[in-house]
Amino acid sequence: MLESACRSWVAARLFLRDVLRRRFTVALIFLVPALFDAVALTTTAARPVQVTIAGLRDPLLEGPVTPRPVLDLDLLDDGGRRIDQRQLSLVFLGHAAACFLACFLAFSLVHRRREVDARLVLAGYRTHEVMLGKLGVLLLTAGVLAAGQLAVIGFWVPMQGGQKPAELFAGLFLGGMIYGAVGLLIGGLARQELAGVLLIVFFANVDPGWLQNPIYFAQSQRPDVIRALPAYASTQLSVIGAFFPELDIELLWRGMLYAAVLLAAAFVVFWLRIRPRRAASDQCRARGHFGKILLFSYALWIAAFELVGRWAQTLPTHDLTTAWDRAIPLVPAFIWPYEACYALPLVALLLFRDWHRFNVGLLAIAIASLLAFTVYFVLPVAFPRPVLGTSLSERVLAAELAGDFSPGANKLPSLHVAISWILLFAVWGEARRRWVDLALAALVVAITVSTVLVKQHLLIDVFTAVPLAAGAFALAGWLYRRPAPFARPECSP
Amino acid sequence: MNPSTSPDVLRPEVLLRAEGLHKRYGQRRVLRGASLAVPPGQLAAIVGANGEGKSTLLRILAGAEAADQGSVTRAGRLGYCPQDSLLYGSLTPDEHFELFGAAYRLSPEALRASADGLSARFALGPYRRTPVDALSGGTRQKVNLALALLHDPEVLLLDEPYAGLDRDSYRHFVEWALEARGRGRAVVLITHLVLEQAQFDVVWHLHEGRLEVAHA
Repeated sequence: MLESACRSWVAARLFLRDVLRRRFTVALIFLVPALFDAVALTTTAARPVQVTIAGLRDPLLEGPVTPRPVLDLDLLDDGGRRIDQRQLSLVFLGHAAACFLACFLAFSLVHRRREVDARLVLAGYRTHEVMLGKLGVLLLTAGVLAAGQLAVIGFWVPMQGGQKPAELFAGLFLGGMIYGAVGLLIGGLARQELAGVLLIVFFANVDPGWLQNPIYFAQSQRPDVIRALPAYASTQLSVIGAFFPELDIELLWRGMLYAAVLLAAAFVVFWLRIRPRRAASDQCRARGHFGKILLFSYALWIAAFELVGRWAQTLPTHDLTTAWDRAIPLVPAFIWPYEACYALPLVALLLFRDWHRFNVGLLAIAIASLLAFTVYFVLPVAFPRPVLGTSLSERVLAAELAGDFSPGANKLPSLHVAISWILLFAVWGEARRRWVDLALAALVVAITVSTVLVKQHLLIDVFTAVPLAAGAFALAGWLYRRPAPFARPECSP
Repeated sequence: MNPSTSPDVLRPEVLLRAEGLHKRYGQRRVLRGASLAVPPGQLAAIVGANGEGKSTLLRILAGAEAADQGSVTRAGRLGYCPQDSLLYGSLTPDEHFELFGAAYRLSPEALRASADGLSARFALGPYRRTPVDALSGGTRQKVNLALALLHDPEVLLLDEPYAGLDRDSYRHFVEWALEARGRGRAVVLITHLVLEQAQFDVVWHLHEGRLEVAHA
């Protein structure tokens, strides 16, 4: 562990030196912020502007209001200090400069270095040690850029009357990390350097350099699109931190989520580029073969589920809600394990070693689905939907509900629950380590609980689904042995 | 780098074994069942026409590329010198030694001794603190080669290692290769220099995706 940390440290130190020795790169670190600040100082005036600070979650800004209201920053300023266009531009452009620079530096950290990094891995570095080295450089870069911008902004925008330098720093740092991850991603994907640089210029200009401008945001016809872009949370954090005493913790979480997801994507791409290669084993080839079967079956199942649901929703429905169901609170955060169910078959695919168990699992899902579809026609169920707020979890849940059948169909029994349990039965014992089995079991329990906590299912849907899964799996196992009478399926090595 | 091992390959008579390697790029089949076995103390060469897949074969043997089919088993540490100088342009040879020394898990003393020895052998001394982007092509190739030799590996895979080397460095490399053979190292290199084939214990000719013994 300590040796591994030392190797990562050596890598980080030398990677940083490799970046800083390039004069052009060092020149950019000073030139870009200076240029952006010069643009802000020379092209803006010291006058109040009307902007929409969506991150403040002002009641006026919530809900499906169109056209969106415009706030005058003067009206929101509780310290009596005027907030002008120039100061706002300095903050916005300072954030944009941090994003652009971090993106470019991260790109130059991996592009044209991929093959050397791969050689380093062949020589004995572990892939994660090289990736940690790159991450270390990115963290330092984002931190230094944020600190530099904080100093510049602090000079022009005096921090007084409730403003929060820490929040401003967090916004600038998160912007650097998010766009640093974008740079790593582009560096891992782009074959040509010119194409990579153009992509960086495009993304860094369009998102943090243009659409996230609060002045532009105020007049935008599609603020929802701007909210979905990576730089939204970090820009809002920076602006709020510079001018307002409020703190919206959700913005912080949202920015960290974007950074984590983009970093994960970048490192998956990077890992694919630098990992040692070996000829595909028989097990890998088998996984590819059964993976195709799984994807085909998945598509077929979705089509069948949709067809059944569209038909069943036209039938007279029954509300089977009980007092117990009403007593269960809505917990929007459980939408995440609920959504994880969709990826569970792919996770299971990675765990299978005995492909006969894959066949049994697939047969069990077919049996359970056929039985469930029959019940959907015989006893169509519908029940009231929950009232949702605007948190991220609730928005995802709202999107899930929007795609649901109306007034209701495909509820009793819950195939979400049944298929999760069938997959658990099928892969139990297949992983080489017991903790993987236990983690998967915990996830399946969380998925089961989530169906009632996000009000997608009633208790009866769950209580019928688990026995359905057990019965279908047992029946599939019994049926599967009939045409292929072997004592015990042979495990692949 | 975790070379797959088997009881067979761990026997001292085989340090590197490849069996039935197949590789195709689109419709073009580059390797069609190439196989080889290299015992300790063997200096082997792979020759073949341009585009026959020699570098692809070496990359597969090193683990830098995956074969579509077949297996590679190795025993001992690997030293791999790619055809192109794969180096961090802004780092100096000494910094490369430090980075690759960490990769090879060399102690500081062993790293210093090895780096000094290789620098003296390949006349790298004056350039050890110069970023490799500022070095000539030949000097970069010496650094490229020295990185593969830094940990005195049991298996050496060298792709045209002396392309661009001056006469003295070439001579030093040949001396090094003969010494390595004497120490029981398995050395496989790609070469175009047909005149020197007598120096090798075995020469394989890669033709139509298969290896044939051209000289033994």
